[in-house]
Amino acid sequence: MDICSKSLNITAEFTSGLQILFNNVKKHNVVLPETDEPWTLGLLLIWIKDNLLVEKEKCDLFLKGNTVRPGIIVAVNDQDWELLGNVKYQIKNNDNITFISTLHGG
Amino acid sequence: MCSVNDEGAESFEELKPDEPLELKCRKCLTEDGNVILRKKDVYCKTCFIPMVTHKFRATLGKSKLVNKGERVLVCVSGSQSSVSLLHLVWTGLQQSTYKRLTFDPVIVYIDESILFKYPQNQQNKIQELFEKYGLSYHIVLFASVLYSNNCLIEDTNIDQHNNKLKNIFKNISDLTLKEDMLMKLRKHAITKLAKLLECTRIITAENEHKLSIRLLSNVALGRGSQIGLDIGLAVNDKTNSKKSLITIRPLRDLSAKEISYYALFNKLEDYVHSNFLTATNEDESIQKTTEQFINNLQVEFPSTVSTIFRTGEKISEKTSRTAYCSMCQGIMDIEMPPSSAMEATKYSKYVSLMGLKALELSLNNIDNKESDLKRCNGCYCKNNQNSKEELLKNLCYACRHIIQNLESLDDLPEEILKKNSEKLQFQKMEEQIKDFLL
Ligand SMILES: [Zn+2]
Ligand SMILES: [Zn+2]
Repeated sequence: MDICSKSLNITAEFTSGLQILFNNVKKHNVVLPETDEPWTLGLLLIWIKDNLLVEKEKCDLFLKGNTVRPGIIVAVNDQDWELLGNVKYQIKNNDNITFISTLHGG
Repeated sequence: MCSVNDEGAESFEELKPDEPLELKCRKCLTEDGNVILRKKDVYCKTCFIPMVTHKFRATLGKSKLVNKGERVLVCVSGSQSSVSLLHLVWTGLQQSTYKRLTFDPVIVYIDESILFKYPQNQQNKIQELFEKYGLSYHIVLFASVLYSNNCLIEDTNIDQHNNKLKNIFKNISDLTLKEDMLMKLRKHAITKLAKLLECTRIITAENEHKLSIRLLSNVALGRGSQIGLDIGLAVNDKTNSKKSLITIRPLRDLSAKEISYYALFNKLEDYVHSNFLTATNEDESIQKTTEQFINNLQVEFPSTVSTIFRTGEKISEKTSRTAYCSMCQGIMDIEMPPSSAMEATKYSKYVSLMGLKALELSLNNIDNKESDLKRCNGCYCKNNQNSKEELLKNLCYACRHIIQNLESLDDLPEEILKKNSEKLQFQKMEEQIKDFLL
């Protein structure tokens, strides 16, 4: 059991209008640095806010509390995060994480 | 207008958070689930796609509204719903004989880049997408459709037309009204394109989620009587019953989540499609407030959207004598007594919105009566306050709010003004001959 997680290579994708919060770039190749506690989706959300989000004042268009804003769908390797424990899901190397907005006009 | 009895109101389903999730697909029972709907129904990828396709075909087929070989305008905005619609239509056209869709689709993309900032090359990418599908398509500029009769070939006055369009929205400062106006102009453009392209059916991509937001927003905007037109199957053109133009919304029974996963599983690329509320805060407009309200409820109660939607469907139009708004073609509440709530709010909103302008307008009104003889009949002169007043007479409550903000009616599409002057002529004629009628 390896509690101490090594750095992880993942892709984060923002579609259906969400990309406008990320410089109109949909697909981001991300390296998550080595940390003491394992990377969860919850931690990734905060990391995205600090490192990928362009306009920090528009943060509430992406996050609400410790999760995504209602109306945003999250999938890990084409699987619904609701089936994976939502924010508690533990990220693995090469995960492809997709954020899809169902808000109208983005 | 609307009544929901005890049996009609569906009860909200509450979540039981501690129940263990069934992770196998409910359909094949063997595969691991990829997506969970309504917090309980788990599907694998292989079973999910046919389920969505089936729902689409059932909604489209239920109405039996599309005939074999009929030209159908398919509106693609680039949004995830619309690229999914395009994929569903295309898939339907490829199927084996007895299941194949048999209508003749004409794809359109209306380029709104004059109003919104889009990524470079977006138009090219859309074109590439359409080429890939190999269906007949048109890419047109929004302003050209609204103001030119030559929009399918070449618009030589595009700069002038673009300015007109920008002018309209420059004059409307309120976000709620801006967005409402955009919706009405989009609809106008689509209707016009359908006629130009000789299509008798229009297919649009609104899903259940979007339609339920529209339903509640419509009520808040004073468009309650137009719900049928905006969320159901809509007959847009009532002038010629033989070739009436019908709008069909075959994704109306699909949730936003179903559409998103359909697009994800089929690897469908979507394109930025903005509106005035893109990336705005919830408290700035009625439409976004409604959206947030619904989305927040949906988190706790997964049946929120479908409950709103099914309830809205039960609202029927009960206006006996129908008059239609010159701008949105919606039903006008003309049966109301003059002292109704509608009149009262109209008056107070009018005064508070317009302030000095209102006073000027009503003074103008007195002037008009005196100079009635000098006025030309039924035409729309430049910056003529008369024509504005005359247009307002034939607008519904919600459209009146929008048009009051406009400086000049010249920025409106010609067909709206033309239709209105025809209506006025008719009303005048009716007035003149009413004494001879029994
Ligand atoms: Zn299955
Ligand atoms: Zn109207």
